[in-house]
Amino acid sequence: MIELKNLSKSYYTDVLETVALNDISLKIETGEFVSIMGPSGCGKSTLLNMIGLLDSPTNGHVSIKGVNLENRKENDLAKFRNENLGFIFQSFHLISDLSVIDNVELPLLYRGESAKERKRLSEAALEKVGLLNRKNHYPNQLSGGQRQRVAIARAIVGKPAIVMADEPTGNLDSVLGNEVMQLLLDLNEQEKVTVVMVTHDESMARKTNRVIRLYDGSLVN
Amino acid sequence: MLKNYFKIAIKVLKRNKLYTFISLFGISFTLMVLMLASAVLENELGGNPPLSKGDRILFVPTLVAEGFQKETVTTYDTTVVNGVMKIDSARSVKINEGVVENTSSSSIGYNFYKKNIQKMKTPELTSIFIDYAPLNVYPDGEKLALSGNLTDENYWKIFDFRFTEGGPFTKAVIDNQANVIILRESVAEKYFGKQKSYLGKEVVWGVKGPFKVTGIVKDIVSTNRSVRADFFLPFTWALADELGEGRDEYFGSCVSAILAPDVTAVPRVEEELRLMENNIEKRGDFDRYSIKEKDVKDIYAWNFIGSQMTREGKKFLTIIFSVLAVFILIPTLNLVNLNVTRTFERSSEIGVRKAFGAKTTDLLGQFLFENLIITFIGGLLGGLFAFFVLQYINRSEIFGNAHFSFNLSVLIISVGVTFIFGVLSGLIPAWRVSKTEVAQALKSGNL
Repeated sequence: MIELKNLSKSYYTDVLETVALNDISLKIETGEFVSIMGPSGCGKSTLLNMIGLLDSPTNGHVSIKGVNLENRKENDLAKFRNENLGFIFQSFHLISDLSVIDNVELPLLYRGESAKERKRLSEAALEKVGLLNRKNHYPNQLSGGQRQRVAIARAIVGKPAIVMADEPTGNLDSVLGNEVMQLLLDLNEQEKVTVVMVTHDESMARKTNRVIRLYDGSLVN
Repeated sequence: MLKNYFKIAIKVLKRNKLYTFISLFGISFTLMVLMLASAVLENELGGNPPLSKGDRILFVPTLVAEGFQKETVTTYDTTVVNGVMKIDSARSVKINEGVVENTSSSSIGYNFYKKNIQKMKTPELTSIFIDYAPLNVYPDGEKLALSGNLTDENYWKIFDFRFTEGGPFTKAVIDNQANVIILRESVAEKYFGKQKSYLGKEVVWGVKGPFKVTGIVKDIVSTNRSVRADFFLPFTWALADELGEGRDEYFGSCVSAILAPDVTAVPRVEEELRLMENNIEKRGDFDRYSIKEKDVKDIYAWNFIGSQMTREGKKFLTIIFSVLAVFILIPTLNLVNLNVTRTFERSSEIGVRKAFGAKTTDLLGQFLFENLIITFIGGLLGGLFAFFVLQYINRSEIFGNAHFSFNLSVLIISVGVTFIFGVLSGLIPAWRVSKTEVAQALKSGNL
């Protein structure tokens, strides 16, 4: 499903090269729930961004669903993300000016779905995360847990094959964190969605199929 | 999609009220000032009666006469007669061509008009009149200071005054120096009090009255002295001095208006004036004459810049439009600055949208739409402000009887210019942000 080959990422300043990822090669199979762990600054989020096509590698390449995504145009990548990937961020990244349902339907907007279809699918996604009754609220009217559930609804509304979650429980207390984690587990088990999750939390990581550990930008066996 | 953009646009406007206020105030205030300025120009130069044919009219308010430096040259001739030398001397006047020693400039006299301008071939019509003739009258014992024009019959064919009753002077009326007068509507009302009809009523002053009213014209909105008069009398009432009879007959207190057959014929009329200058019969010490004609724009510009010798209409309009351009540029740059800052603040939103599949064109479309909304609202407000201010100015008569009208095309052009700048200021930073890596965009800005 996902294959990284000799992936490296460096950031440059005038005088300094900072290696964020160093020669990463790995495979994630369809339907897997993989967690990425490691100390702060080891490159977890950078790796997730590479897999999610949110950032481009300095070297190496990423292929998803058998498609080599090296040197693709930005618009092609946007289309690929829209059709295949869903994202959940630690700080939710909901658009505060849009209502819950408008936030959820965002991926469908760029897919060219009709308003009626967008509404139907968004309501179904909100139903799944238990927030249909809050569809007309705005993000600032919701608790942290509710916001993350809206973010999950947004991530799954387009029925992507892969969901990328960057510390989805990082800003939540344990109860809300477990609720969110359960949603991801259900998504993986029931919908067979491949989930790649960055986490600091060992207990959360233990619930996943596989843990990938990073240290100083390199994989730890 | 557009509904989503609209929601965001309205929310963005509501989110930062100060930003919105500054943007909208900048746009609407600028548009209002542009509308007012254009209304003033339109009033003066827009071809309104009695200057509907303004683009075909040349005025000759000034004639310049120059005398060249003259030297008396004595030549001596010697001859020897019977061994005796004899000296003969002869005196001649040498003219230093081009070295101007004396200049005289003034309004033209009737004779100059008759001998030169009236004989021109290229105009459709020519007219002579005296403008700004002062007259004090005392209706009900109270002083009413008026200024009037003394006109020939062609004057009324060149300038299309709107008569509420009666009509212009006929040739017979002028030739017979009839005791008739045409009044401006509000002057008639001031003199006689409000009446249903003023025709046949008499205006009395000095020893020349009474003058019977034969026409009432609508109030004149232009500041052009050639038409802005309170009353009109037949030209034959002009004094000998005004006609230039006591002087060398070329100078007087008259103005001539020349009507070209069409706009394209105006340069030909000007050429004929140049030719005429070379053929003017020389008088007194003067060797060269030049006619200083002006068009409607030059006459208007003369209120502000230039002199009787210069034609400054085009320069004046260039200055006005440059000032207006700077005026529109300042708030536009302000809007650009605010837009750039605002767009970068929204980097994170752009990042989220890109993460979920927004293409660069989607993002640019969104910012375009948002700018369209703010420009539209600003344009609407600016148009409304201008409309009400013009209504107020027209009602309050701050600018006398000038009537300023709402110019829709200026509003549309101004809104267009604001929109272009707004779009550029929104789109350029949006485009730059959309080109950054999504991960980078997500890290910055607020949602």
